[in-house]
Amino acid sequence: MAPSGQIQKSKTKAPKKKEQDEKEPEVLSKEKKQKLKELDEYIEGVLEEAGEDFLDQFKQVEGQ
Amino acid sequence: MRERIIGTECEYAPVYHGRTSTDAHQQKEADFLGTHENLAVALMKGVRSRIYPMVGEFLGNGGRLYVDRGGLPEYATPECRNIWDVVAYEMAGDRIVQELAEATWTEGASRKLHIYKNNVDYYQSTYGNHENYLITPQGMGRIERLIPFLVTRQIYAGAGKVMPSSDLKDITLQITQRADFFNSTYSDRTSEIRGIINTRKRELPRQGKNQRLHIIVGDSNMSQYAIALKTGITSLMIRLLEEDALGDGLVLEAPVKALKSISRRYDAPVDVSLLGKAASYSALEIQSIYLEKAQRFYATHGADPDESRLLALWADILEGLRQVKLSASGLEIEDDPADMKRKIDWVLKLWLVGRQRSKGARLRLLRAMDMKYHDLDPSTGLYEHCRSLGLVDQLIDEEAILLARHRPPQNTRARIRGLVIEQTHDKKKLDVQIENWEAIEIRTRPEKQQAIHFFNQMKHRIHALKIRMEDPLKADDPGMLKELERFVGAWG
Repeated sequence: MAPSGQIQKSKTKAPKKKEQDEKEPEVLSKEKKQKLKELDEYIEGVLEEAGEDFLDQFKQVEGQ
Repeated sequence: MRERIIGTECEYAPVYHGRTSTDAHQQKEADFLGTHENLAVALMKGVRSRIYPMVGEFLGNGGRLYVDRGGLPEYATPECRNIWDVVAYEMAGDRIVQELAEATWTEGASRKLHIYKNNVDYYQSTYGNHENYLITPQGMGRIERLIPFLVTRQIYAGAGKVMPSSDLKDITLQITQRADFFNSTYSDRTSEIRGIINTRKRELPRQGKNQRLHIIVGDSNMSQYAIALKTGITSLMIRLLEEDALGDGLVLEAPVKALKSISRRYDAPVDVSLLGKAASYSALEIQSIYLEKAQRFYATHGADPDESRLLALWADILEGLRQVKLSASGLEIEDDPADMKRKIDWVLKLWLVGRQRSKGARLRLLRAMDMKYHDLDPSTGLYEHCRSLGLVDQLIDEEAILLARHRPPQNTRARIRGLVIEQTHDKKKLDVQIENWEAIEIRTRPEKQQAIHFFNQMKHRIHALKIRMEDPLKADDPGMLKELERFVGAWG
């Protein structure tokens, strides 16, 4: 710990944003949008398939 | 990593989902699988059909797969010597258990067995993910100094948990699954009264020099980064503890309360005593204190490449978390410039849940999402789907995980255990008993006694080979392996 008792922030720099992000914002944004759309549809599908009783069926015996 | 054995144990939640079938045969099967005990039996039946050599409860990769209390399937990794192996072998366990679940499915069945790698069910029953570390008695003697670290590491190791808000109209998100189930700083138990420090003594008789540190205050992680950070940084800290470099200047005033407060709000200030003075720090600040201590220690004591990589990863993660901005409700991520959701489970879960909540999804649906995050089935699991979309970062190659299902680590005693299993699992004339992690006994099976004439009994006496593996770091024993080969050749 710092001798003064003060918190010293890590000297490591924050990771830079990917170069691709800066070069091709439009393409990436389109691709990203598509992925998010796909993800949303997937989540909707999974939860619909799991059904109303899903949570009630999620019952376990106490473990360690 | 220095002379240390690390391993994890994971209790999985098997859930049999689906509709009631109109087919009588299918419904009969569904009823059979309706109890946890039968589910576990069905799951374990698949081990041999999936070509995983097994002796007793031990797998050919040196790990252990068994049915724990209450019918929960549990997998323990083999003994590992580095963090990348820990990640590979834990992930291998996930894959094996998922494969076994798939093997229980029959064409056309309306129900399917799903395996969840989480720590709490809908009714608030919990099950664990435990870590084991080889530690010197000197390190163990100072174990209380590790408490603030263990309480605060949840900021990168928490798997996230969706809970109802107090008015039951909305949700809250905790960063750990397990914090609510701890009610003591110390306890020798792993159920009912759980302690941040588990004090049950488990000696490792490695020349009497080592003990086992058993940590139960951790979540089951889907993220490879979270597994590596949780076990890797803990291992770095244990070395500081062993070499008396951790100091005793930082003490949490109320560790259990702090564990729960941080879980509810990751930037919550907690009361500490720092060098005897009362102060208030966030978990991130406490972790930064430990990072700085570790950086200083390893700069003067020499860090090996694994330790250096972990230190850099730890620094990056803390810096990344420092930049995460949550909304006042704590249910939306306003900024995450370092993309922590690619690495940290609770951040990804919060992002997923927050998005659906902003679109109008309500309590039950959001809680179902929480559970589905941990579904190991690639066709229905949310984390698995994020992985397939490239939305999360992976730390190790897929190839390493697939290999770890079969091949034991080559630098611990798990290698010897794996060799014994590989050479004996299909020998019908041999009875192999793997008593525990340290001892194996191989015996020739007796012929049917009534068929042996008294004068021939000497020919049919039982031959036995005892293998002791007391040193977990010892991966080779040429004399013993030669004797094994001779024994299996002669009697197998």
